Amino acid sequence: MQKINITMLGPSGIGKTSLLTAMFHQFMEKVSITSLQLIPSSETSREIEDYLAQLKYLVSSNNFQAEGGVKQTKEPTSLCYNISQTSISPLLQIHFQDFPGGYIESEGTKEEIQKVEKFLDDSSAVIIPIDAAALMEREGKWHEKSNQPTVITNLLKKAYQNLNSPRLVILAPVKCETYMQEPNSEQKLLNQVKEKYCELLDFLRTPNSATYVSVVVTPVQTVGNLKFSRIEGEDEGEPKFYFRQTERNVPYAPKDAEQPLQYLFSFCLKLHAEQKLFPGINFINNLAGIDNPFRQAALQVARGRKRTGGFAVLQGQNWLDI
Amino acid sequence: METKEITIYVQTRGYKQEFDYCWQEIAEDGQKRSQPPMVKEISALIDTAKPSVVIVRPDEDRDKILLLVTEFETTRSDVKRRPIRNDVVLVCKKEDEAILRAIAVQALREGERKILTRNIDNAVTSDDICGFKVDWNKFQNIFSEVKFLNQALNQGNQKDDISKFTPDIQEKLATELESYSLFNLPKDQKWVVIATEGYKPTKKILQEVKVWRGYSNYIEDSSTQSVQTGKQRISILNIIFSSLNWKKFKNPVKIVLATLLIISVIINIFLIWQLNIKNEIKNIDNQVLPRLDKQSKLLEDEELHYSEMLEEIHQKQIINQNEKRESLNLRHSLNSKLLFKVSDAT
Repeated sequence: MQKINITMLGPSGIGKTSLLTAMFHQFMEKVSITSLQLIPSSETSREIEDYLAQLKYLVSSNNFQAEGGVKQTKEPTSLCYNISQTSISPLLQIHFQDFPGGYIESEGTKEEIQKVEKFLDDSSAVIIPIDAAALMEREGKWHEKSNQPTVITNLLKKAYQNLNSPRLVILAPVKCETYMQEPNSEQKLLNQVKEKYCELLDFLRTPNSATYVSVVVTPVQTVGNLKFSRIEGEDEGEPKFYFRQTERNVPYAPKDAEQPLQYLFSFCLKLHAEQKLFPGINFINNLAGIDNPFRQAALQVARGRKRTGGFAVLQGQNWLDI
Repeated sequence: METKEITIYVQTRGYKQEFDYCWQEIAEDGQKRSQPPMVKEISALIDTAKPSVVIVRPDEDRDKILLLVTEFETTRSDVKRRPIRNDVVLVCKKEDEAILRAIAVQALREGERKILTRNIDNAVTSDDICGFKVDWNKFQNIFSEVKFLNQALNQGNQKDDISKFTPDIQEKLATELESYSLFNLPKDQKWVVIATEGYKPTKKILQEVKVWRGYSNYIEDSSTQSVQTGKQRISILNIIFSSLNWKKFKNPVKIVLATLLIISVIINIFLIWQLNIKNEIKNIDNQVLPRLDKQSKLLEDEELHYSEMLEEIHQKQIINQNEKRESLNLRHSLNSKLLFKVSDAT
């Protein structure tokens, strides 16, 4: 069975686990792929349910502002999903590697950094959550401190220096409810991503990387019904971003959280179709007609991908379409 | 204050973003970043983000006992306003084993856990230089204040037990730990206790690591999961016969009562069986009789139809015979007339 690893790459408290939770919650609810099934392992299913319960509780009890997101990750966690046709053993397995953000912070140990580098080496895709408020407010004054783009750029430069297989980089601004209400603000968010990650994007546009790397921007409204309120603690150099709910007692309602998975799914299916994972197996698959459901699924998923309103494929469109 | 020979490790985080969760070894003269023994192995088994109590003999030194307790709540939060938790590892030799057991018992009993949680929270503070600071003296006070437990009261029940982690099991485990010295277990018993509110490990994994007491929320039904030999298959008959435990029935009254119980069970089974047979017959009657009635009515209709047809054929035969007779008569009279005319002519 083919196995694809995906790394969640971001500093502590950025919302990696919250994004993962919202992504799967919405993908399962909104995306209907008739020819293939996305099935979590029993452990993953319980973990996602647990995170989801925490998020729903925080929102319903109006505590999201007071208590941040889900419980912090203390150990690297792997979430496992199988992609299969009905009643047939899985054809593809996707592993999401979530690790404590502290591993890439200045206080992270050498061993911890090496673990992240190993994750990146082994991963076909990387999802980079970006704190949208830190990116957008005060002209991005707190972006470097909160989102650590330099650390992330250096890690990817090291991992992608001699690429010889396709990769997908998803830049996912999170908690961006405030910036997705007007067409102007959506475009501003996209421009800000391009500007603040220009070093990374320039590197990924170099000839060798450009051949193999697809880059997309998918803003996610991780919780829904939230609005940026204020920043405190700036004088102490430790900014706290506060949000308020648009109305009292509004439910947990993430928006566009399925989009990173839509792009990821397309990429995985493309990899499968291009036989990059297991050369030679395609011939057998074609004979057995196994690829047909993959193609159908790829077309269905491609139809659901957003390309405007803050969403963009910055490069490598060829790795997303069959 | 008497200092105990217990090595202390604390895992928690600081206020600032860069001070994420990490383990530090706490000593009288300071603290340093250091991973406790066995923690990687334990983390692979349990979800450390769920309250758990784990007791293990470290591979490095089987003469020691290691206790890990996770998810003590704190009054601190980080820069993202997320609540911070404390995890504690204590490692000691046989002399201080009773203290470790007492701490484990406190961690398992809800009321006592609150006191322990508060005491640990008081001993740990966030710090801008190394993330967090632990007050050595306050930790020593925690050891001095724990309930005194006797060392090695008895051998204890050495059979493995693996089941769902329920409040009853939690109390049962606390009671056991109060009474039995962990050093009375065989030295090769590496995994002593794994009790976790998390959804891993599975029963299979707990059996594979041969833990003495293994409790997790992943295991569904506590009433049928008690494992005696590790690989014994549990059936209804096993449960009935093991619950009878014949060795206990030395009293004749109990034997009579048990016999009556068995007879009444057999009679009940027989009556239920009979009732089932009657019901089945009734069902067959209900299903078959209407069909038979319908078929016999159809047959009657067909019979009537055939008799009508026969009657019709019979009538036609009579008409045919009459017609035949009439034609014969006619023929006969014609012949006679012809003969008469011939004779006249001659």
